[in-house]
Amino acid sequence: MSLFTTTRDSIHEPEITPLTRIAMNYISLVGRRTPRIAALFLLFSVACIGGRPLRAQTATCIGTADSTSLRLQTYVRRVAAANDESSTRVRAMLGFAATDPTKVVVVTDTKTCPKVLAGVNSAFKSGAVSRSLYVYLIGRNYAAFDKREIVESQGGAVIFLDSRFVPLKIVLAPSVY
Amino acid sequence: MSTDQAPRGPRARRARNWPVATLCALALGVIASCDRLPTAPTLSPDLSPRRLIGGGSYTLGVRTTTTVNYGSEGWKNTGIQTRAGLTYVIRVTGSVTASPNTELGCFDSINWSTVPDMGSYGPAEPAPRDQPGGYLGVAIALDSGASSFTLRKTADGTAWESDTLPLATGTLWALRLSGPPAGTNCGDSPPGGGFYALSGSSTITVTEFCPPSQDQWVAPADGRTYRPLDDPAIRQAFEDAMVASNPDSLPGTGKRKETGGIIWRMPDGSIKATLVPDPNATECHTDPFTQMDSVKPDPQAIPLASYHTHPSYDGEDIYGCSPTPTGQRLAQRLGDGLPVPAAAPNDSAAGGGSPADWASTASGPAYTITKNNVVYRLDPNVPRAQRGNNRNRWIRRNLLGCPGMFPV
Repeated sequence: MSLFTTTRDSIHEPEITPLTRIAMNYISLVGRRTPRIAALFLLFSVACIGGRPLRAQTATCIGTADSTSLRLQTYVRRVAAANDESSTRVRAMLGFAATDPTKVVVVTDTKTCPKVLAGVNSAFKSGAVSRSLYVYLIGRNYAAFDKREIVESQGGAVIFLDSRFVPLKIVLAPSVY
Repeated sequence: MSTDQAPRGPRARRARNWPVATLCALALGVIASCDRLPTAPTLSPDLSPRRLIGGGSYTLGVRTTTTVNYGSEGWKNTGIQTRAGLTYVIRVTGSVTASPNTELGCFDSINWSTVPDMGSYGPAEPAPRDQPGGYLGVAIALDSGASSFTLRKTADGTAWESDTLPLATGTLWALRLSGPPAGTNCGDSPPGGGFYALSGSSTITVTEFCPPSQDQWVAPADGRTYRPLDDPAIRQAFEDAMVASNPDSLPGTGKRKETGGIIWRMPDGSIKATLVPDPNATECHTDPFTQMDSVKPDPQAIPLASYHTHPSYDGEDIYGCSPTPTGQRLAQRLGDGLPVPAAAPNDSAAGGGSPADWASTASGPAYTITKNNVVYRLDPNVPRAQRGNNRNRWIRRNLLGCPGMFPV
């Protein structure tokens, strides 16, 4: 299986959690009167206790055409193009136009993958979580599946993202396992 | 006159407001007059909008009669709509006896002009007037034309019943006919017509049948063949379940819930559906098996199959789903801050059910009833790869109100 893995080092690109933002605001307010070392200590404490920006968030986009990937592709192509009521309703909810199924392509490039991951984490409101994803481009939009979220007993959840990787909706798809 | 110089005081204010007052009065009058609008004739309860499916039994009239007067008031109010493509059985039960010391009058013939479009009547034989204690019959008027039939006494002798009648589309009215006891001097008139002083009650029931649904399976529990979708009571139970699901309520408010039940085999071999209350049901799941013993209709009843609703359209927000496999919690109610997923219950490759629905078929089929008017039957032991090819799906109510199997 070929994996295209990228790692986003959050020390260089820290994710700003609400708690971190509060701390930074606090520092900006009191910074002029407080020794800078104390402010840095406070930021470090918040990062360790409340935020999760220091943890690496790894996006793995699975590119191999394994059986799961083929099944997911079939699902995504159906949502993209089929005229059955289910697909039509889901497309309408997402604001997608019907798309030529041949324009559904597997996404593995290392620039896109982290952005999709960020969108998926945002959809789940999960913070920075590393995930192995199946990602498909539908026209200009994206569909992503977390490999661990696809299990026989439940089906799977697909996260649709727009062209800017903004999450549109999580759809509970019973057929994708 | 400028506005500044307008007369002041209550009288002047009333005068200025008269157009508003008039409009209000007119509006109130219109609202009040709604109560006085002519009301539609009282039809059989089975014709109420509540009746969502084709098929079923309709009691056209339960009459306790002291005087029978053909064409008497209100008899047409017991009509039902008949539709070409469906079939009907008319059944009459009850008894009448002539009251003693009552003057009986007979007509020589039925005055058909007061009973227009009267199609036929029965029982045709034996001659009703010769029946001890009087007779019962049923007169049928079908506005789309006459339809001839005969009522025959049932094997147990408690009722008269027609054959299965393919009636045309129209309205069917029925009138309870009663005749005098044997020995009453009515001359040589044909049966029917006249005034009789009688007592007793009778019931006319019309049963509408849908064409065969092709829903047929052998129950693992007893090896017998069942056709639940051909049973109007089962279909009504499915409709009741969907109504109880509140599919049109706002998602996330706790009103919309999957609702389901069990189809039982009764000791007499018939089947019966009972709704199963599930306190843990949500928009996303229910388990009819959890509480089924609490609604077991008979100690000897055997559960054959389950059914439950999917009260969300594809793409609708859905609340109350279990956490995802990685423990990601999903919204349970409106505004709880958790991610709100969308439902996709009709995902065609799923064959009409979630993996959990398919897993529930170990002891018998599971029917899923969807908001978009489809019924699926999920059979036991169907491999995952074949579920998308599930041919056991019906339009829940076609134009005739009957289940119609999707073309293969």
